[in-house]
Amino acid sequence: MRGPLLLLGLLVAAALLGPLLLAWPYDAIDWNAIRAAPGSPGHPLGTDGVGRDLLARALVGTRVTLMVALAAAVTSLLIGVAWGATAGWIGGKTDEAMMRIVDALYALPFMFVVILLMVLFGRSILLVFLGIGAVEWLTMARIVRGQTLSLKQRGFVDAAEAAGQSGGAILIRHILPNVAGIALAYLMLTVPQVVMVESFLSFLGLGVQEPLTSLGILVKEGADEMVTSPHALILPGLLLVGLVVSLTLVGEALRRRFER
Amino acid sequence: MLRLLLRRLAAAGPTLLSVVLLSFLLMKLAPGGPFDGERVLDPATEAALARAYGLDQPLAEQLGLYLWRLAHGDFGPSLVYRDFSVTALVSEGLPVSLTLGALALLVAVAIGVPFGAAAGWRPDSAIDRVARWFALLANAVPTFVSAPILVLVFGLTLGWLPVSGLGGAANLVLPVIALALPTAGIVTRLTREGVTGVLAADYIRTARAKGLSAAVIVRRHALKPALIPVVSYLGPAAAGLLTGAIVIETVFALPGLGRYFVQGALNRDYPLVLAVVVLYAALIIVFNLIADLLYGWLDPRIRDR
Repeated sequence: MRGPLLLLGLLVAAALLGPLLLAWPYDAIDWNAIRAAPGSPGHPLGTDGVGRDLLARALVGTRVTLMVALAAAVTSLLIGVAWGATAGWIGGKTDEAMMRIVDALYALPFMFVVILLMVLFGRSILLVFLGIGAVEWLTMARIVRGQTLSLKQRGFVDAAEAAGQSGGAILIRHILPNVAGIALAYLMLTVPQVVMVESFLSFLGLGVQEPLTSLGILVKEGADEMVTSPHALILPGLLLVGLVVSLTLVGEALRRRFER
Repeated sequence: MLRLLLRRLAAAGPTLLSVVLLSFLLMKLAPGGPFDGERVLDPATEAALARAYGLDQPLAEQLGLYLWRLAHGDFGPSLVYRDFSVTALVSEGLPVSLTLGALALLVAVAIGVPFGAAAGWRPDSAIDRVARWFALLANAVPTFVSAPILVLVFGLTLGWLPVSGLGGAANLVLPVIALALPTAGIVTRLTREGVTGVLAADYIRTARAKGLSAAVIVRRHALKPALIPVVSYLGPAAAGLLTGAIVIETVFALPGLGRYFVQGALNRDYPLVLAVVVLYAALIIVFNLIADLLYGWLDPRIRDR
C-alpha cells in the first residue's frame, strides 16, 4: 500500500501546490510562445495551440478532476449511507421496498441519463458532480444496509436498547460509527470511478467547460493535436491513469482492512 | 428454469417502461427546443412546426402517442434530420454498434478467460503477477486515452491500419481493440477470482484426493462454477461497452448509434435521443436476462429457487 499511497500523495500535492510554482497561469496566453516545444524558456512542457502552458494546464486539470470526483463521491456517500442505514435499521417490508428500488435503478443505463441531464440542463460543474453522485450511490447503499443488518444483531445494540435509548440515537451513536470504516473504504473506491466518468463527459464536451479545464478536456485537446505534439495527449493521459491506479489500490487496501 | 425466465421477463417490462418514462419527462422538462436557432422564428411558423410534430398537444397525449408508436416499432420523425424517420436513422446505426460491441466482447472474453484462469491456477506466480497488473491497467486506461494513442502509433506513425470510417474488416481492428481492453481487464480479474475461489472448495480437494488429473478437474469440476462471476458481469459489461462505443465511434468516425446519440443530444433532437436511450436500455436488459439464464445453468442452486 505504501507505493500507491506515495503516488497518490505526489499527484495531490502537485495538483494543489504545483501551479503556484509555475511562471504562467493555466489560462494565460503567451503570445510569444504559441505551440512551443517542451523545454522552451518558461514552459517546461511547451504550450498548446493558443499558447497556454501545458504543465500548468495539466496540474490545474488534475485539481479540477480531483475536486469534482471528491464532491461527487461525497454526494454518493451521503445518499448511500442515509438510504442503506434507514433500510437496514427499519428492516422488514420497508427494507425490501427500498432495496427493490436500488435493484431497479441498477438495471437502468445510467450513463445515458447523466448525459441527457448534462445536455438538457446546461453543463454546469455543479450538475456534473450532482449527476454523477446521484448515480454512484447504489453500491454504497447496498454495503451500508448489509452492515447495518448484521450490526443490529450485536450485543451492544441490545444493551443500548435495554438502557432505554431511542432507535434514532442507537442508529447515530452506535450503528453509524461502526459502518464508517467500510463506508470510507468504498468512498475511496468510488473516487476513481467518478474520475473516469467526469473525464468521459468532459472528453465528449459535456462535462467541465472552458475556461476551466479538466483531465478529460486536456486529453481531448491533446488528441486533436497528437500528430504535431504527442506529449499534449500523453501527459494528461498518464496523470489520469496514475490517479485511477493509485486511488484504486489505496481503496482496495482500505477495504481489505475493514471488511474483516 | 422456465419460472426463472418468466420472472425475469416480468421484471424487465416495468424497467424498460420506466426508462422510457423517465427520459421522456426529462426531455419535456428541459429548457430550449429543437427549433431554437440563430434566427428567431416567426411565432406563426413556430406554432405550425409545433402542430406538425404534435408538440402542441397535452403532455399525457404526447406520451400516449409516443408509447403507441413505440409499440409498433415507430420512433417518430427526426426533428433535425428532415425527411428521415428516427427508425431509419437508428436502423442504420444499430448494426455498426452491435458489430463493434459483439466483436469487442468476444475479444475481451478470449483474452480475459484464459489469462485469468492461468493466473488463478497458480496464485502469486509470474503469470499471476502479470495478469493482475494487466487487469488493473487495462481497466484504468480509459478508451478515450487508449483509442487516440492506438491511432497515433498503429495508424499514423506505423501506417499499418486505417483509422477512420467504415471500409472493411481492417477498419474495425483498432476500434475493437480499444473498446475491448477495459472489459478484458475486468474479465481477467473476475476469472482469476472465480478460479482461486473454486480451487479452495472442498469438492476440488476431494477430486484431487481421488487422483484425478488437473485437466479433468478443470474441465469437469472447476470451470463452470469459476465462470459464475464472469457471467454475472455480462450485464454491466454490455452497459460499459455501449458507453465506451460512444467514444470509440467518435474517435474513429464510425456511423454507429453512439454518434447519433451525441449528435442528437447536442441538436436537441428529442425523438432520436429518446430512441437511442430506449434501445440501449433494451439491449442492457436483454444482456442481464442472458446473464441470469446462464447463471442458472452454471449454478443449479439458483435455478430451483
